Amino acid sequence: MLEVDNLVAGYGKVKVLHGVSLTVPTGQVVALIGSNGAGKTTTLRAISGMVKPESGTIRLNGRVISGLDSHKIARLGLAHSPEARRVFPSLPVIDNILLGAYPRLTGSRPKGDVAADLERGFELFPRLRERRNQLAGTLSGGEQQMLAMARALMLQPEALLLDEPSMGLAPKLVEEIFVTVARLKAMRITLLLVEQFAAAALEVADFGYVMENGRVSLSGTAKEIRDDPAVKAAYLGSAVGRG
Amino acid sequence: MSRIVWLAAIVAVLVAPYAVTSPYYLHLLVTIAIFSIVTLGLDVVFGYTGEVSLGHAALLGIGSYTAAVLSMHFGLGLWPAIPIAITVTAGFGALLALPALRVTGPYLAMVTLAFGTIVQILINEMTDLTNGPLGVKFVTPLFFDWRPYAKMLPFLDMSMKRMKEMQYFYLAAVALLLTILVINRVLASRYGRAFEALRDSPIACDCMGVSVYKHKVIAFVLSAAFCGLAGVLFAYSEQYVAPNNFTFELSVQFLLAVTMGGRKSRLGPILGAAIIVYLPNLLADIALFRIVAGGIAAVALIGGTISIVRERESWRRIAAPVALCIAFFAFALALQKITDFKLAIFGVMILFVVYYLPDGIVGFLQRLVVRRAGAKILADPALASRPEAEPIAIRARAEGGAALLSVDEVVMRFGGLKALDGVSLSVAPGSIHGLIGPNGSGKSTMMNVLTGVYAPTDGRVRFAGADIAGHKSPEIALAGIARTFQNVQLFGELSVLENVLVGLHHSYRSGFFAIGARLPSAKREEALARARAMNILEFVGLKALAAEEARNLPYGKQRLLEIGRALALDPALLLLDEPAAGLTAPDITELIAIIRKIRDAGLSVILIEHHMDVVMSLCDAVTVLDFGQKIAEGRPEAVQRDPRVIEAYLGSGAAAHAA
Repeated sequence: MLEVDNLVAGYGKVKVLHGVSLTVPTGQVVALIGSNGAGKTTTLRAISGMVKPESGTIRLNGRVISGLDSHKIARLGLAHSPEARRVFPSLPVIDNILLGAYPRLTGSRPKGDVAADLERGFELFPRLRERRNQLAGTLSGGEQQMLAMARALMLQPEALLLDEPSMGLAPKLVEEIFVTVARLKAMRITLLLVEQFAAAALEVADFGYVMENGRVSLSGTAKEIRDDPAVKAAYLGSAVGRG
Repeated sequence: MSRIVWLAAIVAVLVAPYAVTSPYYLHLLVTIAIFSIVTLGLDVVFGYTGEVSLGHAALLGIGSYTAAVLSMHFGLGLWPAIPIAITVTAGFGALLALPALRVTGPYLAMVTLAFGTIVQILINEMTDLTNGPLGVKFVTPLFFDWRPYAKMLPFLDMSMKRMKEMQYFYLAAVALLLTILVINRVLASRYGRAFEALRDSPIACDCMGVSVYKHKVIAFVLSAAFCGLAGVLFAYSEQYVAPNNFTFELSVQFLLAVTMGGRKSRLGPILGAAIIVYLPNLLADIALFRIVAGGIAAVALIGGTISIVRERESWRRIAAPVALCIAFFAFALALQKITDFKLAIFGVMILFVVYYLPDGIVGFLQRLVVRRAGAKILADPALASRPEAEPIAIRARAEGGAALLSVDEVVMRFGGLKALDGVSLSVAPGSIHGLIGPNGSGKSTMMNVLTGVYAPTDGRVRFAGADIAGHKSPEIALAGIARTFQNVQLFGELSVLENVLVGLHHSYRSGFFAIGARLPSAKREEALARARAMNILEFVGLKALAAEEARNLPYGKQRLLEIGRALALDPALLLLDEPAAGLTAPDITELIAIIRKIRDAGLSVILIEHHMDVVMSLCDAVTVLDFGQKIAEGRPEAVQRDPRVIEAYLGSGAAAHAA
């Protein structure tokens, strides 16, 4: 379980989050939606320690992780698949994936069966198996997104943060990504999902939070959020008015 | 810098010779001032453009030896030597920079390193010209003989020696103040913005028509010119120059001075120069050394305590540097003979600064004491209504009825891979042309070919009646093609306003002289550009964020800023690479409205986008790429129904609905 309580964070003198609280129950998917600049990405970055929170507490399975360095947070089992993917472009696909298991290989996480997990990753993303020896920088955007997700899963995370997995992908691939998210849900992965395609995200999620100007303005089960008239008007409508 | 600081600096300079009566210490002050001129110039290259020079001592030597040759062979004194040495040294700077900066990487460091060695050897060997290892003697001139005014000026020392010392001190101090003034003005101008922009994102800089290469060379030549000035002053201050004054170690010390003092500031390089000039004295006098070490330990202890109390840092982070400072003091007390440890102490100081003060002393103090205020805006609202300040202007037009852009059978090959395989397309003036296709189908490659980032392997690209295939990015940008980037390429450390001002670089005419002297024409130009930049920001809805650093904007706003910066180029054709990626529905509505307004103003747009509703609602025509080839083209509705497009790109349509 991932619990965020009254989180305040920002960049330099700019405050972005003004007291965000949310909970991701174990094995559930939570969608975080909101307009640009609402603070969704900053929330994820603060949880994984890339932005130091100014106040508030973040707990992962009861253990306080706020204020720790991001590599320590990762070792405690929090995986973050960041916005714009951030694969290691000059390493082959396979090394990118295995780097996700690094804390397991160095003993700071339970080792388990790395080879079996690699196999499972390839099953989830067969395209990566075909390209296992190709440099990650030469992959297309969709393949890089799959790689970033496969890499994050190799941590055997207690919780996974997915930031805009569909960004910049062709419509066909966007479908595939949501199919994958549904499979992660079936695997009972604790998942916090930030998505621009709010409707699709709420379709797959158990719970939803709506952020506005650095605060949570609405929360509830995914269905409640989907049916909320204000959310419908603001986020679920298509840009040109098609529903 | 504010008037008060300037006034304080001038008063300090005026009274310094009365406070420092020892000729030895006055000479040290002169040396600090001269080295400060070098380090301030070096900071332009090292701090702002991010290039490393290991040849600044040699450039200083060129300045000094220009003065020496002029004095020895032509009987010319200090005054003619200053402009000549500045010109000669700047010339040598250009000679170094032109080949070395053509490629990115550590080449400037290597070339300047070799240059330093060669200069020293040449000065040694060319005895006819330079007097070789024997060196050259100078006599410090007396600028003004105030003995006849002895009665009116009773507070002045009338001995010849003291007169010269005082006058020379004033000369060096004035040269330093002028250096600060000119560097301040240049850095606040379009040049300073270009220097920072090219470090943050070279590719965006080139695509804004600001040549990265050209501006790196400009920065280095400017820096070399200051070395020329410093060189002449150094020669007359020392009254003797020899080849071993200008060693490689001195170049390294200059770099250290800038790093230790603090890059990207005026105070930092001066502080650094003071440290490297004064350090040998400090390390020669054990009592003084102990006092200074004690002072450092005390400051570290107090500063550390403050940081912990204010909870800026955890005690673990503070503990190591504070303990080291105290250990250093203990070491100083235990030390009997300091001379044996000179180099070791110097090395420890360097390591300490690199580990614990990465922003230098000034950067550290700034963080401790003040938080950086937002950038100044300085836009005159009166200018905002001028026609020249309209947000959209267009520089190129298609020739009567012809297509604005026509791409003909373009091939782009990377090794064995054909990223573009004979693609043709044509964009009518004032239209929005969609470019869609799966990830990796060659859309972004096409953008890069059109903007000169890649030169196409084969094929022709005509824009507004001219062939542009294979031209360099800055040329194409200035011809009227502007772009945004799929992975946002803003100048992160510049403010939102400054990002747009880099796009307006082309609208400036005034050169270094006009900027340094702050001529009315230069001031007017800057004010007008700022007014126009504010109008552009208003157009894209970012006016309220003008003073914010660009990297602090959320993703969607960064994309809008890229569009604003591209508009500043006055393009006829705007290339938008996935402008809606990462935007939610309300932001997309806003984006669509902005793109429509751009088209209505007469620009043509090429739009790469995966949000099909954006493509459908905006585009007059759509081209679909797959594996580098065109698989469909036509009206958007027709393309959307094309079975090949559905198969390769759109899928069953669920995602299109999700958009």
